[in-house]
Amino acid sequence: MRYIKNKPESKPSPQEVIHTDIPASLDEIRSQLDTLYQFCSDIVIREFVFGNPETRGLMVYFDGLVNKDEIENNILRPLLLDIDMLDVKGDLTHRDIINDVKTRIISPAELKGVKTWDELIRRIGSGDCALLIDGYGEGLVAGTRSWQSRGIESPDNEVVIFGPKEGFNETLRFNTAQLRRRIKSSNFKIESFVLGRITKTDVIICYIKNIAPDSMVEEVKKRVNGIDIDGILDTNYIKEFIIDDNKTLFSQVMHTERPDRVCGQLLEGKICILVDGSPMALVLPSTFTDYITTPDDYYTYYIPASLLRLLRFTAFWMSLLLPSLYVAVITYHHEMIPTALLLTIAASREGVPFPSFVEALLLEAMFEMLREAGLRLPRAVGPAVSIVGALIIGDAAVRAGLVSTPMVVVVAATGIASFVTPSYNASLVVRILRFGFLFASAVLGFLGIMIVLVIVLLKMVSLSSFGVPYLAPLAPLNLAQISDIMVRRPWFVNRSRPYLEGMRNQQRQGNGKDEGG
Amino acid sequence: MLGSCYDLHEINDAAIAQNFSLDLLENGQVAFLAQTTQPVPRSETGETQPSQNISVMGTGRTAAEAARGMFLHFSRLFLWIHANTLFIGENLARQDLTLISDFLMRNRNLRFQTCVYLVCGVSIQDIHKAMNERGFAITSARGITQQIETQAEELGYYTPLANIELLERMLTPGIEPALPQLTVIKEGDKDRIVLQGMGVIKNNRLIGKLNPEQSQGYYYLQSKKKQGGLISIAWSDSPNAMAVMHCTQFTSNTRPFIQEGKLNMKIDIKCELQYLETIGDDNIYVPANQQRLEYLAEEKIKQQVRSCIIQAQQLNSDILGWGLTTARYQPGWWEDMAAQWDQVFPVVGSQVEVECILCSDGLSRESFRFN
Amino acid sequence: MSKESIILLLFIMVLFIIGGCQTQELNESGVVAGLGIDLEEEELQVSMQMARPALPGQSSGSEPAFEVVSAKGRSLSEGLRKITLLFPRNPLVAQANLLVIGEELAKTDLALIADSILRNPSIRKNAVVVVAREVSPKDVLNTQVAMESLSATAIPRMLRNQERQMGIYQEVSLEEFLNKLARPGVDPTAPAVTLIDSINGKAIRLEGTAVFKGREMAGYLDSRESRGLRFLNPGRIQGGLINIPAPFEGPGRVGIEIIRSQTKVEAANTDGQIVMRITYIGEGNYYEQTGEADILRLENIPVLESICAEQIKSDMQACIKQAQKLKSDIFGWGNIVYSQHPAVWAELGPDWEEIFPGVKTEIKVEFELRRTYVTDQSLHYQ
Repeated sequence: MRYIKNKPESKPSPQEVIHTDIPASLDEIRSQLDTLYQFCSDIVIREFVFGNPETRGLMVYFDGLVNKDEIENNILRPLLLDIDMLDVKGDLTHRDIINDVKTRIISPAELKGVKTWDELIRRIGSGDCALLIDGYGEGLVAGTRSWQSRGIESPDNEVVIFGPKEGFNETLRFNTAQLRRRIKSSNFKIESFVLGRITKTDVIICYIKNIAPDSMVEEVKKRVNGIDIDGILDTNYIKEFIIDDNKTLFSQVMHTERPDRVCGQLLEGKICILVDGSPMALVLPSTFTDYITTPDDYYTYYIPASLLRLLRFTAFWMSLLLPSLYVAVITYHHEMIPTALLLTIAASREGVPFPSFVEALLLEAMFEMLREAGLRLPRAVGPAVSIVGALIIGDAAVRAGLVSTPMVVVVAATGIASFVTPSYNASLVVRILRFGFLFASAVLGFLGIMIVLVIVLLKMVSLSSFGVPYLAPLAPLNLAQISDIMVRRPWFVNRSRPYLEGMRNQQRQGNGKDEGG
Repeated sequence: MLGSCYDLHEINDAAIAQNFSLDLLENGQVAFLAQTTQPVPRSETGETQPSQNISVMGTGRTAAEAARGMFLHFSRLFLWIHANTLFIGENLARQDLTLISDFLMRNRNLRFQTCVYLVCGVSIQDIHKAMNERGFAITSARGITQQIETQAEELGYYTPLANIELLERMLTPGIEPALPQLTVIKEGDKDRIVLQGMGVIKNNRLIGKLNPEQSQGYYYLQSKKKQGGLISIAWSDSPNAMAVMHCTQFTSNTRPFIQEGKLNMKIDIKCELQYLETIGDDNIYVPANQQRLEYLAEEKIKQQVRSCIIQAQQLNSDILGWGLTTARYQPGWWEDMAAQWDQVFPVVGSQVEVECILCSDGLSRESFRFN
Repeated sequence: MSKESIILLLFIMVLFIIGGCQTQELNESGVVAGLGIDLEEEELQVSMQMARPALPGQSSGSEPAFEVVSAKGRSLSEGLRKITLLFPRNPLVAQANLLVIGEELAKTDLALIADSILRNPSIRKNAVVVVAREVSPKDVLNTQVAMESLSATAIPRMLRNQERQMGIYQEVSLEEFLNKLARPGVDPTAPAVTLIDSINGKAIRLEGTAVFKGREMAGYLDSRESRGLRFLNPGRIQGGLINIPAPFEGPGRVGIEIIRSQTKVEAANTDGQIVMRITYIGEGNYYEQTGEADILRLENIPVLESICAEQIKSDMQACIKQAQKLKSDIFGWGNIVYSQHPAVWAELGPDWEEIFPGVKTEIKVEFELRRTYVTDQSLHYQ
């Protein structure tokens, strides 16, 4: 302790510096910069002299985040060489140098003056470069962001057959650009926030004014502003802070990587949150029905799309209930199966050492493991694992008499059905609940399944996502909207938007108000 | 959780009952025989071995005790719900059906749609032995259900009776049940189960039988039945000239009417016939003969129905449900007469009217012409 | 080499040395499903039902799925080991969950086997004990039960199902059996099995309960007395069917299913005289009736309940009578006296054998009817 105290205490700590304004003297600026960016090897600080009488200037940026050509051509070159083009012949005496530089000399398209270290640091961190001039407590920040990023690719886990193939990537601006390209109205608002005490991550909230209810927009902004965390690396960080009920399995916001899907949702009055560095967009409020819809529905002709949606409904229920129904039927309710089928099942179960429930549990757990293993494996090994897992284990287990064939069929069918569910979040929920149903069916048969189903439904009806009931429009029932759930309503009759409390413009076609812009 | 697993049965610990049979032994005990199928796992090569049927017997003072007595030498629990045939031994039927009717009604594990048969001439053990030998159907008890249904469509001899119908007819005044009968005949060294006649029940006891002709008449009197029945008529005096027709559809209606203070039954039967075959070289199936063909068919059906009525009235068992019909259409009259129905039924007059329409033929429009 | 690696090496070496001495590869052993012991010509005959391993789908129709091997020896362990003289595989006795005791052995002396069974670590103590009545254990093990591959697994299941459905016999585990054998003031029982002719050929049937007196078998209880024994055992029971005559004139009978019941046994000491107070509380469902009588009416229910109670009581009394006749305290009353009146027991204990046949009982039975299943009345025939 004494050792530290005895040190000459001329330099303030970086924490103190950061909350102060930028000093006027360039020497002081330089020393404070050194304090702030001590041990930061990627910082570039270039000092130079320009004009007449000589004025000292300083340029700060992070290597790798900026476009150096642009800095050279648009900032340094005009300052150092082209300053003579001013009619003052380089004589800067008694002039407001910084204002001249800003308005007359340097030429980046995006230029802004900042007065505090706090903002300056954030801007540099985002890839801007800062120009500081001796004698002025202000930094000029030029937008020179440019870095290597992943191109726009087709999203892997939301594959569509028809429709746009573009997906978001990790750069926020590209993402907002993709949205803006699709919605050109000036009512499309993109509000920006900075979250994360250390990461200083850009977060944007976008919505269409007049369609998204104002109260909801305010509420979302309030909740997002309330977040105080050291870092935001993905949208899920935000999601967990802002959802209504954080003790439930059910996802109350939708994750998507597809700008077209976001736009479709925005047009229904939803709000989207994007985070710099994450390709996943959050769309909220999200209700249960979003689990079983996919953007493809709206890009396909409505008749096949409706039939596919019915198929998906069936698959959803199958993946949720099939194993438990099977266990319930063969352990409690034998009267439900035709005699011939029962005899076949009985014959295949003859000699199986485990109770049906244990058998189902083992196979289900095995299947989940295979699925999880398949996700994390390198692509080259994936097929090998699925062959070993599905074919060899399944077949060998039956041959060895450890499990019965119908159970393998049931588990495999459930597995296939669970892949039909379009949303990964939804299929996670289904996978977890399936085990709950399985336990219940082993304990009480259909009664148990019914009890769990009622509990799950009770939980679901009691949920709401930003004021929207989770099961809307099924409960509370909205007959006008329900037709778009069971089938895909053709566009030509799809005259109104799904109702949201406080929505001002529900009309989609015809005599609706002009949306302006 | 306390009440959980209350009736959990793994199916490989259970025996799926196909049939159960009840009879009265000579010592006054009820015998209960259940047939189940031994599940045979599919072999690796995919070929299925013939499934094996096993019968298990228990005895006791009552039906339930007899059924449960099986557990003294059988280790699996029975799943009764899949039993779709019930055989009742002749001895039991002659003694008293009330020995088992409460059991059949009250037990929640039994299906009300189970088909009931009477076993006559042989014991239920014999018929089970014969059933267990037959390997061609998935299980032979199911084969018998199919047998009576096919027979009804093709021949129209015997009317199947479900468990619940049997109970209803025992309980409802003004109608008595009649059960199809099964027996075993020897064919070489093989036993074969055949349907043979119907047993007539009165006051919960078996009192007599209907022969095949009477059974056919009984079949035509069922208002529920809509299909089936083979009619072969003699065309002329020569024994070689016959016409065979099939009843594709019929409706049957019985209405009571009072005439001169006496109860009469008017029975209307409407049939649609299909011409099946000509025997002999007469060209019978020509338009000019249609009326006569229809007339002969009508007479044939009339005769069968009449013989059934006569037999029922002789046995004084209202298997035709005339009492019930009277109660429905002449409630006032029924109220007065219900108590004396036993005396009234044998002398109720009947008027049978049959209307046949010959409306279709097979592939050929004419009779076969010989050179 | 560092210290750690030496320790690790030693550890692995020790594992190799001690391990392996008890391993038995499954395909070099025979799985014993059931064990039978009898006395024959003054030697113990040990029979084992060996399961024949078969893959699913390979079940050969006519051939039974087991093989019975038997050998004789002067002691149980000798008999068990002599099996190896005629069977090439090492028998895994620990899998046996049925122990069939021959009548001859039971009547002679259980001391011939009790110590060996208790001491042998590979004999399962939760195996089910039955006595082979009038047949040899070997024949019992050699008989197939319909639909089952092994009679040794079928008999325990038969006992379990039968108790739930009929309510006559109770399963007795080897541990319980040995306990009762060893403890003063209680004598063991075990259900008996015999062979009968059924329509499927020879079949195993549960027939009576063997009653032991000390180390020897004293006699059998018939099915009614066995029922009484089940009612008399303290604790809760579930299931069972009571058949009572209908409360009207005529041949009708009524079947009542016992849902659950509880028995409490207390010893009362009045003037030096031990009186056993037995309280039975049970409930049942109306299961069936025969005959046309209109039995199931509200006013008849107390009558039915009292007939049931009488029936249960008389079953109990029949059992007590038989046990007292055989002088075998199968109810453990001595034990109850010991725990409730230790002072009295100290006095009576030594002479309990003489006292037990004269012990008075007070039986109180309460029975209640609850449900009537699908119909709530008797059928009214026309």
